[in-house]
Amino acid sequence: MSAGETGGLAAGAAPGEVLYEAHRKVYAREVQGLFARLRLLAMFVLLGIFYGLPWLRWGGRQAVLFDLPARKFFLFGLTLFPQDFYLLTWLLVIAALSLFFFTALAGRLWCGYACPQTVWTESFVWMERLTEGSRLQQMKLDKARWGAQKIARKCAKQLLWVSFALFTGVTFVGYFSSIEGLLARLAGGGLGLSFWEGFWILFYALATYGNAGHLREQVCKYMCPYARFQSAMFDRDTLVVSYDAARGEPRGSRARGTARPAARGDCVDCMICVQVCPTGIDIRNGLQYECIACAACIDACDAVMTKIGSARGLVRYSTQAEMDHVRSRVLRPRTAIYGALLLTLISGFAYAVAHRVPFDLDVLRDRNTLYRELDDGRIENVYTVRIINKDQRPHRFVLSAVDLPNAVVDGDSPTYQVAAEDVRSVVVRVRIPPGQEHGGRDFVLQAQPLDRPGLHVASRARFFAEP
Amino acid sequence: MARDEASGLGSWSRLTEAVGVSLWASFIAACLESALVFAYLDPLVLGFDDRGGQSSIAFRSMIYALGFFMFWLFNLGASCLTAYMLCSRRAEPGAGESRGSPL
Repeated sequence: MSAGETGGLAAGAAPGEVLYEAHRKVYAREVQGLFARLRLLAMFVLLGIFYGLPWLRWGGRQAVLFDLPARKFFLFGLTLFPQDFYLLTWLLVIAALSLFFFTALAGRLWCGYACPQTVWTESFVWMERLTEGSRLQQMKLDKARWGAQKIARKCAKQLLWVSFALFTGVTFVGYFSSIEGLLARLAGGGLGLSFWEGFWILFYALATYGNAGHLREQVCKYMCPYARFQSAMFDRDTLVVSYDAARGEPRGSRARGTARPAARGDCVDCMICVQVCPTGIDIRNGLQYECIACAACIDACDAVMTKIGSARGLVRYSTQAEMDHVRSRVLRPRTAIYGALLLTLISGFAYAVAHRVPFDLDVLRDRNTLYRELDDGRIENVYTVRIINKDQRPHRFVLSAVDLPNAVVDGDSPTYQVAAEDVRSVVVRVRIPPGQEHGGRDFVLQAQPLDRPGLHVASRARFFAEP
Repeated sequence: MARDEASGLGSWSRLTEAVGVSLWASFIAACLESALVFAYLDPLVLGFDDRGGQSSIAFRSMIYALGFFMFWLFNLGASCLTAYMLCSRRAEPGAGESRGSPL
């Protein structure tokens, strides 16, 4: 490590010494080819989903809405309450395992095509090209003195970036607060916007602008833990972007149309693979953790190989095994175990969602009195019961005590109507005959919907009597 | 880092990297913590009698946001401290690290 690179935490640096080299911007060259088209397709599909989903309606309301203030999540036909948190955790575990599975199988597909960091960076780079021109024009513009043209181009870029970032922020908040209402409030000058809505729009817009406009590949290189974990998921049969050194070396330039000298490899050392790389690495140095497997270098090298009349695939998707002339295996213990686990989790999740009881019950003991002896000697405990109806229809419930002989559950009414997707709190008194119990005893409070006799929900509670 | 030099790219300083990684890791952890805590804890049962005249919706939004930032701040403190402890250790003479130079 050179002195110029050592940095900041700085014990022992001389005063005034430059502690580190400033980050230099990567000007990625535009590339065309199969993988560029695939990346563009992925970008359109994923951004389309992100910006379009809040506008989708389902059963008369926003199809996907995480209504945090109301503590309800709407996912198409499904309404999730905080009690269903385990389903979301389950989904996260499935997502993480899918990442492991696809990484073991095909390397960093996620990074190259689907990661929000990649997708938004691509769109910001596209806007940069639109306003500042190609890679060379951008480099020239940045070196040029400030003049009318430079100001105009830079302003246009910032205008596009900021507008797109704000639009992204509004869409993001639209997942948590009805997007139609949000836009209506914004159209009215933004005065109707709540403080936190405005705050989160700006927060997310700033995060998008900073990450996609300025930080870009630095997030992947320095901040992303996945890049560092990849070696744990990779093996010799994982698909990675590789340079065929056996074919390419020794590299060296040659004039167009001339045959390759016998002592030379296929690589003409044109450096285009380096220029197109969004993280600024040289794939010819082998697999590096900075490589996000976007395959831009494959497209670039294929174009050059075609032009000079050599076979394509000097840089290609390949496996270590294939490079070593051993057959690659798709089915191997690692992929089989990941795949089986994934399949089990997905089936379990589908089962849990399909067989979810759309009711729930919370029982809280009255905090003020342990128990009360009535005039006739009966013992009474008081509970606050929350009946949660997650169904999209109202239901009427009857409450009863189980495992507590002779108990009578007494509330304001014999049955309780709970509106669709609503929670109702009721105070109930549970009474038992005198002398039946001593000390504490666990029992079960049960809520039974009258129109669904086969279903009930129960919650354990504790009953106290005199010792 | 040598690779960065070879490809002509600048690099982040250790400080920037430590803070950047800490920010990001503590952000992810804060998201998970907020989700977990607020799934089970409704801000309305926190027992604030005076919500400053706010509706339950506004009050919940505020507690969610403040809770999230509190988690982020605490995680960030822990992350930065960890990074500092690990990095500053190398400054000791004779720490015996082959990668060498003191920070």
